[in-house]
Amino acid sequence: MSTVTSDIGIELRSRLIGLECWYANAGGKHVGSTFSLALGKKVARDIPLANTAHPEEYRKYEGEANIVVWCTWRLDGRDAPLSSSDDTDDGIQTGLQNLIGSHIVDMIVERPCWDLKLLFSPYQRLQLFCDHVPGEPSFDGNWELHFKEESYYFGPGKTIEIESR
Amino acid sequence: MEIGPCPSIAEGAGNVVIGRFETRNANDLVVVTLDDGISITGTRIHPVWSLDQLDWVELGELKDDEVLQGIDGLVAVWKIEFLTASQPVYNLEILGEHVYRVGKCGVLSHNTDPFTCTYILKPKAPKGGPGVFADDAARIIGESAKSRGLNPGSGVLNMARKLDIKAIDRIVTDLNLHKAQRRLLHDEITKQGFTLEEILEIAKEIIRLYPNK
Repeated sequence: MSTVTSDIGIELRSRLIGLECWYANAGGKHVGSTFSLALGKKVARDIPLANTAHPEEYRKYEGEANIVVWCTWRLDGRDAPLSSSDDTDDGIQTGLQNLIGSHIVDMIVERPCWDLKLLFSPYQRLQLFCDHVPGEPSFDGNWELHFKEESYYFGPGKTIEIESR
Repeated sequence: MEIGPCPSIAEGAGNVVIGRFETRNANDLVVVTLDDGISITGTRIHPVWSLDQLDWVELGELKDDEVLQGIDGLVAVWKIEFLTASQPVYNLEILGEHVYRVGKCGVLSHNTDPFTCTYILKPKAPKGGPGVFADDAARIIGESAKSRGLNPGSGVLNMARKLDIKAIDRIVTDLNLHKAQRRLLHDEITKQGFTLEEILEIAKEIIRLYPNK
């Protein structure tokens, strides 16, 4: 996983490599297979989350980088898949817990639709398949990356938006 | 034409029927059979509420397994047949929201005149009646598949999840949530069992708390 196929990919790769995943947020009614990951240093939120299902740490802090996933995905271990967007709710929550404490060691963003591959150490590979395309997508986006100062919104299709926070 | 006195209007819940229409020899008819065995016959263009598309969909445009809103839950389309013979059909005009229930399972239907129809009147997903729950949708679609000797498989869950994410997308769109507010909504509803109505209120609270996000 050494190929980065876009300038944005190169920039984001340099910012994400080395970050540790410290929270995986998934599950619940009407959430489907969507999830988010908090990565890197803990950054204080302006207003704590009201959702008491989260630990206090996540209610008060977000990650230095945060990935939100709306599209189809799969998480692989070295020898077998750990979970995917086709898994049960319990399976998704359990599978994503494997990422806690892991560090990002490589990243690929592929054009035209910004499919994402993240490699973690200890070995795990998270792949996002950007299946929401323009027209009438199930959701108006595929995945997002949030930093303290700006956010990147990928999809639907090849669209990308970068917003200051 | 003679105008008579207003007939007495029965008390109780529901909206008043203000018109009943009969078309004696209607053509372009379609028979939609639901997974409970009940059939609905109507014109191809008569709209019913599709939970798959979260929109009014003409009977003739429905797909196999498409999920509709029944009065006590969800019902799935089993099969669709197009008729060549003509027969009488009936329509109602309802005061207010212009919607009514059809058949034993109470499929949500609309009485819009197709020639002036804009299909803009949509039931608010989180308000009134059963919401779009993945569990319910999975059950209905699964039972529909089993009744035809099919293995529902994981595709059932995927379809149900598509409904879920579409329902959330609908709330985001209706309230015009910014993308940053959308992310906060995700954080506020995960690991919970909120109804769509509760999620709608949470979304409004996010708009209030984070107006500039």
